[in-house]
Amino acid sequence: MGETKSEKRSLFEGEALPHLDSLFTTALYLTRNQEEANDLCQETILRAYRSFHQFTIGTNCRAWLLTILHNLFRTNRSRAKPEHVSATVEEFERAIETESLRASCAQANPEDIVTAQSFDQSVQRALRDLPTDFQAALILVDLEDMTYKDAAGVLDIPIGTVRSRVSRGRALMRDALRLFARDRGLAGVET
Amino acid sequence: MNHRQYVELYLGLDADDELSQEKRREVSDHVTSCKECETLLATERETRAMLRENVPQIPAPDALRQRISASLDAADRAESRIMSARRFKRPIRWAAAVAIAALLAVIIVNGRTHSTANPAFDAAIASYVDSQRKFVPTVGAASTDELAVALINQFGVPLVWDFSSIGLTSRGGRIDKTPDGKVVAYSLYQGSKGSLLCIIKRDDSFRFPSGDQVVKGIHFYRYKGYSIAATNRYSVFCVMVTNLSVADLERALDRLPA
Repeated sequence: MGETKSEKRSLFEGEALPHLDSLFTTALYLTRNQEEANDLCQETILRAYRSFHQFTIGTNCRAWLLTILHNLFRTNRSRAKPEHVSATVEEFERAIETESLRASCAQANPEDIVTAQSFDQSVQRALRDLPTDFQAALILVDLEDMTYKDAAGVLDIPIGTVRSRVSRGRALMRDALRLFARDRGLAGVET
Repeated sequence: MNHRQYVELYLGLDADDELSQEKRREVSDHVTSCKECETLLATERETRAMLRENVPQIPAPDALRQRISASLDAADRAESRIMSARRFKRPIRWAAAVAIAALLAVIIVNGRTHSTANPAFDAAIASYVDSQRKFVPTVGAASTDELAVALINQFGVPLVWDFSSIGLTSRGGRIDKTPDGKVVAYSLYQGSKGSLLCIIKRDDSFRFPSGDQVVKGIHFYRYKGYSIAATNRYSVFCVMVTNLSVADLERALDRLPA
């Protein structure tokens, strides 16, 4: 790209800023904190601006930005709390089960969910409280409408792991919402 | 494979080019002819629909848009400054080297230790000691430009220093708030021989204690076993604390703009 600085800036703003709402929504769910979400979005946009020369116009800018955002989030999180890396597939599966269990325990107070003023608030609360790995996969696939393959690229994990996280994430959502959902007649709430 | 695994594969079939044609057919045939899979599939689709219906996109606040615009402006300015600094770097470095050499001679001959208690310096030393135990950067760990932009956003000046001449490199910064709500920034520089913490905040009230050496508006002290450099420009107070010598700190001036 051989454009001037102001051309680069307006090109960047035209490509990237339309996705800011999408970035902010994702950041807000990941960080659960507005100030951190603001910081994460700002850092993402700045990082993208600096490496805009690496972006090919016409390709998926939203996926590119979300990849940067998730990378930054993972980096910040691993600095704050070193992440344990599973040595074997079995260990990984056990870790996932433990995480699911922990999440279910964390949501063991369904009153918080069902006493929300409305169903949509309950859903948003349940999504907010999901363990980050499941939540991130669910947001990309179900809310951002990404294919499993694109989500795998954004999260830098195998496609099979995305499949599994999305499925378990939905199951955790149903579990969290089962009381509310039972009243609404949502299928599969007892699974 | 169990029914749930079949359904998981089926839902991602369209975009999954890792599966063989044979496997695709097997998954598709199974799911479309299995009652249990049909129920699971409906559940998955309804959960997805429920999410899409009830979790709207949240508009980015105007304040965030303004912050982003300001930080892009700052990034543009920082880039221009770096470009122009590169053009003028060499002559400035020569002039600075001569000035530093003269200054070092003065310091070596006249070096004094500041002994009167100073609460601002005591607090700075306490922060330095804390930073040696634990320092979790929240900005600029990967790039000093990023740190400069964050500091420009907060204080209007890019208070990032190049201490490579004394073997220190930036480990990033933190932007926190004091209990009274004032913004305070910390940036840590480390090397094999020591480290330096730079603390930045707005402070009109700070008065430089006497007994210091002043170079280019920067005051140098040896205080309670630490070397301290302090500046107060445009009400932005910056204090640096290091376990290295005052002479080392002075030497790093080579990199500062005149």
